[in-house]
Amino acid sequence: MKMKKWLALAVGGSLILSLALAGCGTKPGGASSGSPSGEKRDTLILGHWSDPPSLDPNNALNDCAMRVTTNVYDTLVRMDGNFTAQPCIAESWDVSADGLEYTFKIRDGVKFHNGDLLTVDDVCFSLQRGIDTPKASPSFSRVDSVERVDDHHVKVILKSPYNQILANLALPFGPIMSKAYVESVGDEEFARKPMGTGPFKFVDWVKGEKVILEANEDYFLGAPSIKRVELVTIADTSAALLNLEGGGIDAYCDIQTSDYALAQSNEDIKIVEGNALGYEFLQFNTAKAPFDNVKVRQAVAYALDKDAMLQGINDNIGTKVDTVILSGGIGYTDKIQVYDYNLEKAKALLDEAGYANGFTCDIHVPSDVYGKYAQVLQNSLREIGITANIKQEELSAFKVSTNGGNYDMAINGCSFTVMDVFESCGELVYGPRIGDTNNTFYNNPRVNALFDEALVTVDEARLAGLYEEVLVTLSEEVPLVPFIWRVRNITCNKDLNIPYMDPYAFHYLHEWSWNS
Amino acid sequence: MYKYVIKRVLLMIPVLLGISFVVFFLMDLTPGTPADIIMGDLATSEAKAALNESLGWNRPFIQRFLDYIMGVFRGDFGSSYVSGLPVFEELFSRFPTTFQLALYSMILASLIGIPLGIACAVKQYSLIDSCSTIFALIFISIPTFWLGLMMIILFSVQLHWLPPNGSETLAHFIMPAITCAGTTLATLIRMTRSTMLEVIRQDYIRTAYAKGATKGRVIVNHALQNAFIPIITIVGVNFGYMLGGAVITENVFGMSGIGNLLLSSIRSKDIPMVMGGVLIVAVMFSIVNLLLDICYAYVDPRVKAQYKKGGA
Amino acid sequence: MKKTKHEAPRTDKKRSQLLEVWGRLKKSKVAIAGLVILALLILMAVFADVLVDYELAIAQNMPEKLQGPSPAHWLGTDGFGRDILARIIHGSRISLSIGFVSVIVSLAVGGAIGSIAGYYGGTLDMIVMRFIDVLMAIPSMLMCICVVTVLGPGMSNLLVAITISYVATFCVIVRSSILTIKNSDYIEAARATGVGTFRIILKHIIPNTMGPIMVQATLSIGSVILSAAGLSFVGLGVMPPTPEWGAILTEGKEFIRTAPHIVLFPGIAIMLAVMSLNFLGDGLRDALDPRLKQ
Repeated sequence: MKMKKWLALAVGGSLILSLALAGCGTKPGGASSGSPSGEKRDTLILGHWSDPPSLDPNNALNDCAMRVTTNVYDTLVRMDGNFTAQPCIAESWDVSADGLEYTFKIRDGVKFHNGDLLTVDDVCFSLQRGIDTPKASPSFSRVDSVERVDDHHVKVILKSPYNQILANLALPFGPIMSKAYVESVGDEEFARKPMGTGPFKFVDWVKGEKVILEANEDYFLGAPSIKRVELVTIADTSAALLNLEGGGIDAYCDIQTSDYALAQSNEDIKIVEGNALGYEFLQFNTAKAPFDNVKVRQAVAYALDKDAMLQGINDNIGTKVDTVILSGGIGYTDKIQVYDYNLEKAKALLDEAGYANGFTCDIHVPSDVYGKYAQVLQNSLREIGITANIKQEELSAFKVSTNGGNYDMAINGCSFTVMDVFESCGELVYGPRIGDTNNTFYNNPRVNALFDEALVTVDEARLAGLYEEVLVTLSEEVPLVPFIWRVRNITCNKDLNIPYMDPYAFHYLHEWSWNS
Repeated sequence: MYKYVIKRVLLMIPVLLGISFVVFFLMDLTPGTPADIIMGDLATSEAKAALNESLGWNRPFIQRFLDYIMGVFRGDFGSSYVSGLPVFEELFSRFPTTFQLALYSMILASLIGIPLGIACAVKQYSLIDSCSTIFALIFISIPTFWLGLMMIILFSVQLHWLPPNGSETLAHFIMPAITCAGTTLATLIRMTRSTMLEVIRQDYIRTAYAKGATKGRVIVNHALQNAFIPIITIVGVNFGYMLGGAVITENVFGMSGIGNLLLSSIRSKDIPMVMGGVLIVAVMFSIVNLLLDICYAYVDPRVKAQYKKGGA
Repeated sequence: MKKTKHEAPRTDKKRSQLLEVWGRLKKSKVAIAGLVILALLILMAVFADVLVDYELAIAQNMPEKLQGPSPAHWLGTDGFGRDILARIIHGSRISLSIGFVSVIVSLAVGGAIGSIAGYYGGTLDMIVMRFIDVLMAIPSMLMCICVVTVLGPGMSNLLVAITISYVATFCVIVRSSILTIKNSDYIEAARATGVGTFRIILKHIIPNTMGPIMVQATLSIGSVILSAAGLSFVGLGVMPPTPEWGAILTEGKEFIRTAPHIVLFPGIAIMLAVMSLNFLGDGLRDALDPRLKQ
C-alpha cells in the first residue's frame, strides 16, 4: 500500500512539474489569426530557418537576427526597392569634394519606443559603437571616425573614397540605438531586449521558438499596416511548407529544392523572389599542381555542368552565371570567356596540359549542399579521367584547409553587401589578401593594380573600365568558376502583399501588408 | 544515509573534472579559431584577430583549461561565442523542451512496456508473449530518425494530423515521444517479463495463491513490488540519458532542445556552450543515478540495511 | 605427448558445450530467423559486385532522378538518378563492415583494458575505472560527434569515433565478468600450479567470459550500424558518393514529400540488419543462460 502511494506521488509530482515547465516554456501556437471574414487581417507569422543568436544589432551576424533588428531599428538611410538610398534617420546628406566626408542632417522629432527623443548624441554613440565592434565591420570597415557637428548634424569620415558607403551604412549592422537605454541596461540585457526607433517594437523573445514584435504606431514614416509580427524558427523547409499549407505560418524565407516545386504548384501560395548578393563557385588552389596550370583549370571549368547543378540540385532556384557580377553592375561585360559544359573541350585541354591520363585530387566542401554540387562535378570529372574525392568538412575545418592551401579544388558560396566587383571577388583573387582570405592564391600583378586603382575610384565610367578588364582576365585565367547566382525567395500566402524582394532577405516589414 | 549522499556527490567532482578535460581537449583539437565561425566571411582578418585576442584564444591550452575550471568554481560558465549571452541562459531556455520530451517518452514507454511485460510473464509462451518479444526486438532495430521521418510522412504529410516540426504544444511532442520511447519500451517489456517470471516462481507467491489470493491481486501486491527495482532502474537511467538531449530526434523534428543546441555548438566550436552543456548533462545524469540509488533503499529493505551497515 | 593428453578432455568439453549452446539456439525460431537474415545480408555484401556493377551505384543520371519503383529501377532512383537498389546492395558492404570492424576493434581494446584492470585490481583498476566512468558519462552520440568534428568526416574517422565510444562498454563488461570468475577455484588451481598470469587470462579467463561478451558484441554490431547511420543523418558520416545506408537515407530526407521511397528502402535495410543481429543476440543470450528457458 505504502508503495502505491509513493508511486502515485512520484507520477503526480512529475506531471505537475511538467505542466509547469510546459506552461513557462510554451505559448499557444500555430493557429493563424485574423483570417476569418470581416475582421481585417493584421498579424503576420513569418518563418525562418534559425533562432537569432543575439539581438544586439552590432553583434548579430545571422540573417534571422537581422530580420528582427531591421524592423526594430532604423539606420541613417535605407535602400529602397531599386537599391537607392532613401532618407531615414538622416533627412539629407552632403558629400565632401574628395568623397571622404559624409555630413548627415538628423531628422527632428524621431522617438524611441520608450518615448525618448532621438538626439545627435545617440547617433554618434551608435556609429562609434559600430566602429568599435568587430562584428559590425560590414557597415563600418570603410569608416574611419564619426564626428558631432552640431545639434542636427553628424559627420562620417571614411578611410578612402567609397561610392557605396550609403549602402553599407544602411545595413542592419549600423542602426541608431538609444545611448541612455544601452548604457542603463548593459550590453547583455540589450542583446535580449532590443529597443530602437523602427516600425516595430520588440515584445518578446521565446528562445529557440520565436520573436514577437508589434507595430510602432508613432513611427515617423507612418504606422505599419501589419500590427503584430511573429518570427518563428522552422529549420526544415519541408516542415515549413506543411505549416504554410496548413495556415500555421503566413510566409517563409527561402524555401528550397523539391519543396519549391511543391509550393509553385499550390494555388494558395505564391513565391516572391529576387537576386541576392551572392553566388556559388568552384575555386582552385592555383599555387599547387596540377591546378597551377591554367589549361587544367579551364578543362575543369568546361567539365562543370552548370545546368545540372541548377536544375538537378537546386530545382531551378538561382540563375546560371559566368562571372562574378550580374548584368547592370558596374563593370559587367559580355567580353568574358564563357565555359559551357563541354567534355570534349575539357579532355582536349587536359591532353594539351599533359594530363591525358588524368589525375587524382580532392574537392573540399563546407556543407552537404555544396557536397551535392561536388558530386555532380565528381561525376563529370570521372568521364575525363580525373578522380576527385569529396572532402566534406565543418565550416571551421574547411576554412583551415582552404586558407592553409591544403586543398586542390573547393566548392563554396559567398555573399557580400553591395554589387561591386571587388566586394564580390576581391577577397578571393586580390594578391595582397593572400594569407588572409585569398585562398585561391591567385596573384596577378595586373589584376592587383586594377583593383588598387578601383578601390579609390569614384567615377563610375572609369570604374567600369577597370572592372571590365578584371572580369575578362579572371575569366581567362579561371582562379574561380562562378556557376549559380543566388536567388532568395519568400514563399507566402497569396494575400500577402510584398512590394519587392530585399536582396539581403532582411525584409523591411513596414512595407508589407495584407490584401483585403 | 545522508552521509552516503554526500559521499556520492563528492565522488562526482573528479568525474566531472575528467569529463571537462576530455571535452575541452577534444574541442580544442577541432580546426579553426572561434572568430572564423562567429564572424563569417564578411569580417576582415584584423577584426578576427582582435576577436580571438579578446576571447583569450592565444594563450596555451592548459592555461585556458585551468581558467575555465576556476571560472566554473566561481560559478562563471562564460558566455557563448555565438550569442555573447551567458551559457546557462541558453541552456535553461532549452531545458523545458528536453525535459518534456524525456518525461513524455518515459511515461509512454512505461504505460505500454510494463503491462505488456506483465502479460508476457503471466502468460508465458503464449501468443502475446512471443509477439511482444518479437515486437520489442524489431522496435529497437528501427533507426530513430527513420521512424521519425516515416511518421512525418504518414501523420503530417499524408494525414495532416500532427505538426511535423517544433516544440510548442503537446501535439508537437507526440511523434518525438514515440520515437524516443522505442529503446526504453523494448527493454522494459523484456526486463519486466524476466523479473516477473523469476518472482512468480518464488515461494511466497505460491503461498499467496495458496491463501486464496486472486491472480490480479498477487501480481499487483506481490510480484510487481518485487519487479519494481529493475523497472525503475531502466526508466530512471533512460530518463537520465534523455535529459542529455536526444540529438537525432530533436534534429528530425526541429526541436530546440539541449541535443540540438549541443550539436550546433560542437560544430561551430562554441567551446563555452559545449562545456556548459556537457557538464549540465553529466550532472543531471549523476543526480538521476543517485536518486535511483536512494529509491532502491526505500523500496527494498535489504538495500537500505546495506547502507546502514556500510555507513559512510 | 603428455601435455596433449592433458588438454584433450578440455577441448572436448568445450566442444560439447558449444554444441549444447548451438542445440538450444537451434530451437529458437527467432534466433534462426536472425541468423538466416544476417547470413543473407553478409552474402549480399560479399557478392555485391556479382549482383550489380558498382558503376550503377554511383553513376548519375539526372534526367531519371527521383523516380519511384519501376521495372528498370526496382526501388526507384535518388536525387542524382542513381539506382537505389544498387546503392543499397553496395551499401551493405559499407554498413556491415562499419558494424563488424568497430565492434571487433573496440572489443579487443576494451577487452584488453578491462581484463587487465579486472585481473590485477587495486590502484590500476581504480585509475582505469575512473577514466572509464568519465567516458561512460559522456553520451556516446556526443562523443562520436566530438571525435568526428576533430578528425573530419569520412569512413575511417567514423570508425575511430564509434570504436572509441564503444571501448568503455566492452571494458566494463569484460572487467565485471573477470571479477566474478577470477577468484573461482579453477583459477586458483591454475595459479597454484604456476601458470603465468598472461596465460591464465588468455587460456582460462577469456574463454570462460566469452558468453556474455558474445551476446553484447552481437547486439553492439546492431547499435553501431544505427549510430553510423545516425551520424550520417546529422551530416557527419561517410563521404559522398559512398553508399552507406544512413547516407542514402539522409540524401532522401529533403524529398520526403515528393519521393518518400528514397527514405523508405534504406531504412528497411538498416532495420533488417539490426533486427537480425538483435534476434541472434537475444537467442544467444537465452541459449547461454539455460535458467531462463526452464
